[in-house]
Amino acid sequence: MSRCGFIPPFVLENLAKANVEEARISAWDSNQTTAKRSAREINVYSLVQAAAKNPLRYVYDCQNKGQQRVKLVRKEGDPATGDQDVNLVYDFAGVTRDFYKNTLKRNSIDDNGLDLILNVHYGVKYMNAYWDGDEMTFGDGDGKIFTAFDKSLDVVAHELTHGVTQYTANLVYKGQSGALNEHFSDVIGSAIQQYYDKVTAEKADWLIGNEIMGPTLYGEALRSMKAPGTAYDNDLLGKDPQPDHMKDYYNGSSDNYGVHINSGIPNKAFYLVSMDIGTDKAALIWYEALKKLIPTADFNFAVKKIADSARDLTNKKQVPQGSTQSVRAAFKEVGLPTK
Amino acid sequence: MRIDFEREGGYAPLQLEYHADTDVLPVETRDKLLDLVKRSKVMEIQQSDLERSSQSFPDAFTYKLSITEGGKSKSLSFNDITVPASLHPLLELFQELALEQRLKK
Ligand SMILES: [Zn+2]
Repeated sequence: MSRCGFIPPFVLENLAKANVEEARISAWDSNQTTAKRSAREINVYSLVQAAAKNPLRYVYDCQNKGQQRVKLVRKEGDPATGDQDVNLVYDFAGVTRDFYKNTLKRNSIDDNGLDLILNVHYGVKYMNAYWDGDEMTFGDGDGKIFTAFDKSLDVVAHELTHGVTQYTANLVYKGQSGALNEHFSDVIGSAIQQYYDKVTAEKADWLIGNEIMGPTLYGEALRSMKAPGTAYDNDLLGKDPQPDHMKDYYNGSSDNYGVHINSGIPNKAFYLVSMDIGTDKAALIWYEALKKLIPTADFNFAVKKIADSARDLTNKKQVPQGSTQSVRAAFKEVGLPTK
Repeated sequence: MRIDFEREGGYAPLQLEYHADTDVLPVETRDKLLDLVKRSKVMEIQQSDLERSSQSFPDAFTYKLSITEGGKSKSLSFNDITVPASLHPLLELFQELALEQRLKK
């Protein structure tokens, strides 16, 4: 159900004019028990946000139920709680929001100040995190194989970036467009992790998910952007199936036709470009390209748009001379574009 | 009762499957499983009730569940967004049993 119509238009207008955050929070609170907001519909909040331009964080404790938004436990500006997962996800969502704003000049997920809804303690021993079209949800893991998924900045940034992709290229989550969807989340996740850790491309580990490994898998990771296919090899997970070249492209139907598998190919190219011009500049090129893609984009189309973005940004002197050639060389090394 | 369960997708690549004939399970596991099947009312759920089931959501798990009992058969596919709330305890048990089986091998 849309929240359109709950509040008369003149009240909305006044709220927007007043630009008062308390009013927004209270409006939100009074409605939080109603049906959750659909990202596909214009609602009262996006109208108010258009004026306020400041995305607020709302952290919900799912209390280990398989249900989102069970209890609001921390909202924007509230002091830290006694729950480490709540505080971490609040902080990491803040770091991600600030990176988008300061480095990529994007105002939240929709570039219009959309609030960030974060659910923690979802389900029982739930070993996952996901984006459902409106909000982010994180499980606790079982404490042995995986810890809580909110304990890692790159996981939070990855999930939030699925939201950004939805509001930009809206890449179909299947096959090559789905692998690109995963790729952009890994790209921004890594860029934000390096920005936060203040490390260069040379010093970074380029691993995804290594922070959420429990004692059983300690030392392993979920993906490696530097060397796809080497992140893990154990009895529990099997062997990392990510290819680092088109010649090893996965053609099976598993995982929505390999969205988390074939993302290894463009991931490697991003790593190579970052080593050349720096991760922050590479991320800027990729982000500009994301805004030019279409929902059914394939790898070849993405390579073209990433090279186009490198040219545009070189022209604007926002990335170094030679960035376009670096992009082409990196993709050539992973077998792209295909003929 | 014949059970076939598969889970794939997700942020972490831990794909799970669990296949069992409840007749040959240890009594404790069998009773727990049969109780949860009953309480979840899974045999009454219609695939058509699982809204938006054709859409894929980033990093959500996708599930396939088949249960055959006395000539009656139920096959459902769903994901973390479309999963009926009543199935959560059953899915948690499948995760536990699938991991137990894998670690034994
Ligand atoms: Zn993802």
